[in-house]
Amino acid sequence: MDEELEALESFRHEVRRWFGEHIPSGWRESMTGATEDEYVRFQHDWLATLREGGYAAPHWPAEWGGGFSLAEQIVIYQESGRMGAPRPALFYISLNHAAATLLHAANERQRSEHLPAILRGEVWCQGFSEPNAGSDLASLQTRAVRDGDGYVVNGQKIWSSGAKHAEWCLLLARTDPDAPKRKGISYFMIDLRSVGVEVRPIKQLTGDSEFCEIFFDDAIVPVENRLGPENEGWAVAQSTLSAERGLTMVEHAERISSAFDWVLALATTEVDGRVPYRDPIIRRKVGALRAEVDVMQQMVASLVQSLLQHGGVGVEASVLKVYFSELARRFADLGLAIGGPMSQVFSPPILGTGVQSGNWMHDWMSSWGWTIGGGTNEVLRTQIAERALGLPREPVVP
Amino acid sequence: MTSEDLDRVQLAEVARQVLAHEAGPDRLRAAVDQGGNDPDLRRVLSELGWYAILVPEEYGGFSGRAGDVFPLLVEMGRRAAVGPFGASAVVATRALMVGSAAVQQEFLPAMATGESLATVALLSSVGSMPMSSSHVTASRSGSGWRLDGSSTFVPFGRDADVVVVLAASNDAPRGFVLKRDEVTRCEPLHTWDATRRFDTIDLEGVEFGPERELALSGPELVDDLGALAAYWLACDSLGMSQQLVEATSAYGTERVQFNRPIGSFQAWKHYAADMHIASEAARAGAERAARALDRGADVVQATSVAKLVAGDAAESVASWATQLHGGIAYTWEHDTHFYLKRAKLNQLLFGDGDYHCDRIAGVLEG
Repeated sequence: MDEELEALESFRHEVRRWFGEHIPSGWRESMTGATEDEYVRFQHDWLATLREGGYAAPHWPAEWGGGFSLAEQIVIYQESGRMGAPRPALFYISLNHAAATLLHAANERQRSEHLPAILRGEVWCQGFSEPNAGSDLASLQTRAVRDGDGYVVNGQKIWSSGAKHAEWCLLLARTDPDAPKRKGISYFMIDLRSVGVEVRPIKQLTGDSEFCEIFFDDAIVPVENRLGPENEGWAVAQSTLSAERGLTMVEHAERISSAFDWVLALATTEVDGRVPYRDPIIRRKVGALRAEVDVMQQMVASLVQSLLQHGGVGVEASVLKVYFSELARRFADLGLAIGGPMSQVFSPPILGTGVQSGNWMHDWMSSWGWTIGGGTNEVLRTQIAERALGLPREPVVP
Repeated sequence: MTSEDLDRVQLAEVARQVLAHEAGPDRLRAAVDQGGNDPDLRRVLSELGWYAILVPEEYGGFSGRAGDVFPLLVEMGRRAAVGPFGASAVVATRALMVGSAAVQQEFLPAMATGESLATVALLSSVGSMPMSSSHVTASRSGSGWRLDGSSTFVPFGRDADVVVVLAASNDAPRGFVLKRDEVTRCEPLHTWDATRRFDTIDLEGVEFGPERELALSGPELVDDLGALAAYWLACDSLGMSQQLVEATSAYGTERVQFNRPIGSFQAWKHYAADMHIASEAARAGAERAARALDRGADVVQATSVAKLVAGDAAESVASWATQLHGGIAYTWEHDTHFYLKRAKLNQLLFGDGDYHCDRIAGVLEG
């Protein structure tokens, strides 16, 4: 055990040194208010750097270019968070959701076609939610009708993060409209460059357009791009969704802890003769926020323990998501309280940072993306009550 | 998980079984009727050696660390168990670690067997905090000391054989170890929380030799005693939260209204989920405090975080538990009110939320 720990510590030093040497200096400044093109180019360059270091997909099996132990992956997430590395956000769905799904449900050909391409920078998005299928995802209505060697797809998807830059889409579509709703869904990989596909960015409340709508109008998906058997897509989708939980939280915990230092610096810096930290109320709020950040880190440490022991996480991931998302809002809110009215003057977002960017108003607005996205906190509270506490399910409305 | 963690998991299991048997709901009621006292429980815990865990081996103890008593404190909170364990076996025992050799030899062996009880007098008679301006004053008297003043919320003061007193001297807060018969007066405090006893002690010209002074003084002493008191109450509050989450969930499954278990209503279950989230946050905070105390690093921040988070969590969890049970929880017959009151007192005692936020803020300032 001690030898293992020692090896892990020397690995940590190696990772820290690598990030120290490879994080592009001044990237936050150059990504502040950057254009889409600049952002995409920067993300591809950063992925290439990570790939050369071997850190692009640490959670993948060795044969596909990963091969780090779980403990090592945790170290990589911790150090990249702590060192303030850019997030490879453009490839978030590719590296996590698409890869998890391919590894879980794809055949050899599908894997060898896409996993290496993803590592080279193939961008994916997720086509799950629909205007009328949000929290109730299983009621989705996009249709895929078998026609010879392909399926003809018609319908509309929404909240596809990064779809405007994506080449491929993880698509859930209904293949049997007569089956019970979870039993008539199939899972496809669709090339967004196909005829009959149109991507339209959604202007969000922040003014950004990270999310998109995707319209399918007689778009064709070849049969070989189906993942898993026909009508068994719902089970496959669970592997995609589980990628959202677990290890990515380690990185968030590290980033929120690093970002706390910005709040503290802001609070203790004199502006116009005023040091916010001398205000007992601000001081107390900073103390209370630190307590929550400590709790978040400890909860993530427990989650990691559970991953190491059981290889998976249960409902505690939902507890953590609710806690983190609501903390993210209070976190930004404190930045705004310290910043005062001047925090309400527009400043451009810093692309590739995540929900703690230090642009407090942008972070505060983005926090609703966290409390609503990835399972609304209301859906998750129901899940926690039923799975952690064993409360009876609500009667199903037919 | 280390072997140490495994031992603690086993200890937690033993604690759970012992306390389920020795501190169940009937015993709690009986102890409340006896004015917050349960001598049988105290005897059982002594026989199990729990009072000896933190006492050094040379005085008949196990030389344990603060984290070793974590499961015991949590399980006692879970049962709202009546007894002086936290004050005696944890806070006062830790205080005596910085006592003189003479004090340790005189008091620790009997404290290890549970034969002798110790407690701590941390609060002045005015206001709940800060501890550093205690209204017990210490002045030099010959080669020794003299104490005057009074201190309140002394846990199980009337039962204690040994009292660790925090006092203000002209230069710094200092700590002293007193024997029961040296205390001038001990007046019971009639608290709303009936699951524990608290007293006010008066000290009038109490004189003793220099060997009774603790080796630590000033802010370090306040931090050290405050950290242990915060840790004890955080664990106690955590146990209460866990119990209330379980009991309330069970009630939501059994109680039927509108032809449905009330726990199937979304409004109800979302409050229950919030109780669970608060309880999990409390657990994270208290576990972190146990580790910090074991490592002797980040102790002030970690124990204040634990007291803040677990103290607030138990108060909200008990509030929700009362609400979600409905009318039955408004009766004396139901157990929830014991927790509601104990949780509120824990939240305010030995530093309320604001006090601990300030302490964390102070650490951050460096």
